[in-house]
Amino acid sequence: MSTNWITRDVIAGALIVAIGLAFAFILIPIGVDEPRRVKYAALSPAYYPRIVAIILVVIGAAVVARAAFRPTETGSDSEAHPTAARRLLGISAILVAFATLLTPLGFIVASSLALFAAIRLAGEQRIHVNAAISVFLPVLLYFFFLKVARIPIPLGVLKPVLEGV
Amino acid sequence: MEFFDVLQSAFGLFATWQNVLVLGLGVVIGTFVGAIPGMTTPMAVALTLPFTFTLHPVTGILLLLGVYKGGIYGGSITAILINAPGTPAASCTVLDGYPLAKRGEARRALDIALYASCVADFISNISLILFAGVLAGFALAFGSPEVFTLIMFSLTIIAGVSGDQLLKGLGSAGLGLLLATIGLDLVYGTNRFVFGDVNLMSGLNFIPVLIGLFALPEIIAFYGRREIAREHNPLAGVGATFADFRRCLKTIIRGSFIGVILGAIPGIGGAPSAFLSYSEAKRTSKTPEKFGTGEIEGVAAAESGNNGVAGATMIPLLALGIPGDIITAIILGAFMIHGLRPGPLLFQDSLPLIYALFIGIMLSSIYLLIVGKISIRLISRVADIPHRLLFPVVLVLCVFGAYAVNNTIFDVFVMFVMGGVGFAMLRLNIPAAPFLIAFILGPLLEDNFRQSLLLSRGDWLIFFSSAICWVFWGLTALVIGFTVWSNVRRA
Repeated sequence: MSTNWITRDVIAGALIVAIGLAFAFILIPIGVDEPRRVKYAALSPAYYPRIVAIILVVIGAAVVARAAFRPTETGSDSEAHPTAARRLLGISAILVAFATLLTPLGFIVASSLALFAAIRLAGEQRIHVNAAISVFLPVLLYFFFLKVARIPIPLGVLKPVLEGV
Repeated sequence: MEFFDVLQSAFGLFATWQNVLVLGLGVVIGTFVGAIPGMTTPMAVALTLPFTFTLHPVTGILLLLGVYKGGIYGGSITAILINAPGTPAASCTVLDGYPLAKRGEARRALDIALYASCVADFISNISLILFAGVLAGFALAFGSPEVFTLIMFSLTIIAGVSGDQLLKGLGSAGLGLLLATIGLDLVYGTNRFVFGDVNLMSGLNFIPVLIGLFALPEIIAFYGRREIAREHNPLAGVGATFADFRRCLKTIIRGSFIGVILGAIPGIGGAPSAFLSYSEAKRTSKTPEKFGTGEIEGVAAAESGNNGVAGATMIPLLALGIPGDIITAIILGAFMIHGLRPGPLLFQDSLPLIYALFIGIMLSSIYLLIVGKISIRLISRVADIPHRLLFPVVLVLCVFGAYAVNNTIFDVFVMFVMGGVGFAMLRLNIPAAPFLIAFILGPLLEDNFRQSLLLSRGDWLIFFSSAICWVFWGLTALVIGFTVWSNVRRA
């Protein structure tokens, strides 16, 4: 039996409990604007989320209890391998950088950079193939959305070059 | 006017090369657009609308109907190939379609999705022509309490898609229900979890959530694998056989009728119908444990459920003048632009026009089959692209798609955040499908729950006030009882 059963199920259950509690005691009181007078309690905007939040706490507790009393077998952890872990870290960094650079650089440049890095990380060694895909795909998508779907995609740094094309 | 005179006039109205061409073109546009994540069918229909202004009413409306039908099928293509449904209605198709594609059986899944779509579309069209009056009357019997109990019953599918992780599946559904409450409260117009951000006022859009939850974790997990290699599958590249189709036929017919009935009820849509059809297919299957792992019948059930809606949504529109969803609302607009007002009067004043549309609608099923077969040949090759290139390309496609839904970068951020959530769920063995089902059905559940209580002035007995309510409560109790019993027995 894998040794990480308790960690996974207990973490999952504890997270569900924590989310339920956070909604019930923090997010609903501060995030839901309740009208001063509500005709029936069930019509309040907070009523339904509160019920769901309470149910979540109960379910989460049940997940933890089940994990503690009746452990279930889980598969091996493939991500524990150093190469896989390194790649996971790499793709996480690419995604964070992609999301951060979208606004300042624009979709085409940010996508090209992210695509190049992601293809390289996935193991593609041919630089010319990688570069061709990384440049052409975002440009193609930009013109498709602009010309066919009539959706303007933010250009960022390429605005002076491509605006009006 | 005699029936045959009307039919003759209708053929006269329909039989022009423009109509035949435009309908086919509509199906092509719809299939293409539906296959792009982020490009929804309503968006495609809305973009096509201005082109219909100068066309004959029959030609214009047929163009929109072609786009609509193509779009519903097209949504299944990316659901199967890259785990990112092009349309909300195709979200159920990912459950078995993508596992099949992962095994190299994308072509088989796409074929069955097409056959199920065409049969369901045909049945839905026939139902529209033959039972429009009866189904419109039945649909009118569905008020808020009936829809609430129907959605409660639909939510029982959560037990089915959770597999052996029932508790975590329920937790996942709870998270989906909570996330669906973000935005303006419909009864009082007050904010819920908006925190001053205008982007959150209309709630989270379905498409970025869906792409984030399904496509992104798959991409991240790909990089986390120790070896990036494919297993050989003897069925790789092979299409669906007649035996596959025959095995799925019962499921397809059942799913089609579920689609027809739910499609006739305004406001329900394709996604709940697909989930209900899937749930029924799993419940009645001899091998329910295979559902969710790449069962061809699962794809057939989902696709027949969502395509069965296509013709039936026209029932309340044509018979009563009530648009059941955004697409039929746009089509209603097209009718009105041409000076036509759908409803009982249209059947009196413009019967040949209605029949001409019916002829075109029937032809659209054949177009769907032809366009689908051609597109499968081309598109199924996507599955042959090396993963080291395919996954990064899909990532960029997801970003553009998420942005295109509302032209806002906020949706792209939502997609990234949901990607993180989805990956965490994957690592913690929390099934994502219940989250998705609850997120789609949640607003329908809550709105109808509160509307019912408003109508009854707080009296909860309204949820037991009609025979339809009792039927759905009974079915819900049966499914829950069966689930508990089978879990206890397994333990």
